[in-house]
Amino acid sequence: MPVDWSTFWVDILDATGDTLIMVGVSLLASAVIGILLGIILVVTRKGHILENLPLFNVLNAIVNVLRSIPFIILMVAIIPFTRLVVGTSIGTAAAIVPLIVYAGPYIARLVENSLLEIDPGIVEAAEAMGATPWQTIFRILLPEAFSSLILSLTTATIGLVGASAMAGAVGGGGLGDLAIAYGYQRFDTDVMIVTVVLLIILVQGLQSSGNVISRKLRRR
Amino acid sequence: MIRFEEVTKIYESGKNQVKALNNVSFEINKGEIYGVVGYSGAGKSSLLRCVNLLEKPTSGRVLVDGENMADLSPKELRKKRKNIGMIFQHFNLLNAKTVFDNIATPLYLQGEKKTVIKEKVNSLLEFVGLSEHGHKYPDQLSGGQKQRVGIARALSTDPEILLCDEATSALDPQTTSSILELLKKINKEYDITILIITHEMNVIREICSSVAVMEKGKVIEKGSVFEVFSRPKTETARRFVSSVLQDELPDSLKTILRNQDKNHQVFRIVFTGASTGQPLLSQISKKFDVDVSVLYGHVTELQDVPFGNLVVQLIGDEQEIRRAVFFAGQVDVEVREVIEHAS
Repeated sequence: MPVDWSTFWVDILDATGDTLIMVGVSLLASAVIGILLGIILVVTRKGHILENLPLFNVLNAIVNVLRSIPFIILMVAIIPFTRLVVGTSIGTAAAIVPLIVYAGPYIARLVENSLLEIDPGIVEAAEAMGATPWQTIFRILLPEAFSSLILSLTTATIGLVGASAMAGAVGGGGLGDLAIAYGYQRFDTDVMIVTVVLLIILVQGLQSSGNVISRKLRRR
Repeated sequence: MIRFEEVTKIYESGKNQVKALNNVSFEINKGEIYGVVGYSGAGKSSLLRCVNLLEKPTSGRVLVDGENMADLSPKELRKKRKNIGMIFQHFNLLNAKTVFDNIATPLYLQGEKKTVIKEKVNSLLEFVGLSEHGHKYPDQLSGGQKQRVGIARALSTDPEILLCDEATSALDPQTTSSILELLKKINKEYDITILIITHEMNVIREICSSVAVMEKGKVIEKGSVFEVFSRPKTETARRFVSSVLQDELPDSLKTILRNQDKNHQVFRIVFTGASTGQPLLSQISKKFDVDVSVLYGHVTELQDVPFGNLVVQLIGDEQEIRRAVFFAGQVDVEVREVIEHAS
């Protein structure tokens, strides 16, 4: 059955909106969690300003475990948790919960890498200046890593766009859902192409703006 | 001002123990520029970091102004650290911040008012000769300029002590001299006690008043720069001294000396202070039946006192040579025989 394009554009617009909401909300929440975790993973490691190996080891293990589970499985596995949080296991809101659980640890690792790139000498200089650990994190480490953090968040956002496409499996809606429902299950190649092209444009746009912002912030 | 009392620092990595500092004791007086010289791995860097407790001594005490650093609470320690500036070999500037903000960072951290910061930083920029560069970023500066920023940053909290961690080792000789001049100026104008660690003996010669030579975690020799340069006691110290005075005889010359058939002896004559002006050699050759040949000569300045170092060959019979040497010994110079095979 051929698609009626005059009404279909409305569906596509809706789906795009859903994707943006899913990605936006989960990005916001997972960025907060990820940046926090990433900072803790850096400052509690051996020899760092707030060395705490038990905490480091536990968090490190949790992040590794969550990072090993494929998103599609994670999404199903945490349905009880999702239901607990948003009251339902289907729909856009229900998709956001696993997206956060998926992207949080991912961002934590990216943030950790960005912060570890900073010359340890700079941290030493901060200590020698008499900076508190809090000041070292927020006045020294984060500003120094800022442009690299923007690139990390860009990468994470694109990962979220990809993962959100799979959220169709729990009826999450969005462009990915559309591509699967019409393009894949109904063999409508045109729809598939349109949605995939839209996804490409979205990803390209995100990456380019991430690059531009990061370059503006980077002094090198 | 700074006092090391039997300081030992042991690093443990698995089963291995490395003694970076082994029972180090010495004292640095207020207003001094104190140099610690040693090859890499001698423990200089650990020693320096024990002063502001970036490294905690395994045993022993480091007293700064009479206070044992290890006894301070974290809060007291942070306060104390503001009184101890530090500059680094690789500058350790904040790359994302301008020169102005780099220098202002310690002041921001202690919550200083904007107007105070602005005034302070501008005067520091002028002091280190970077008034035109406040708006630039570190990557737009040369190595010497970066170190000037580092110095200005270290001075922003008006410290009484400045720690220099191989501060000139990444710089070319000319830039090194200009940075050393700046350190000298800081010492004089602000009366700041400076502790320098370096592997370059010329740094010690140019600005230090006292020096400690370190090897394998121990201070093997210490004294005024003058003493150590004129009479190094240990082999390591001697090697450091020759690295700047270049008083080794070249091999070709040694060969010529060895093949000479006339009776001769080679001496090193060290002139210090007023004796540098004396016409000693011509007196010797007039008074005694010896010929004098200068093989090497060097006059430099140590702490504003002239310091001469001559290697001469005395040719003549043994007794005359001995008398000549005795005479030279009377006039406040130091004469030592140089054994030709010494290297």
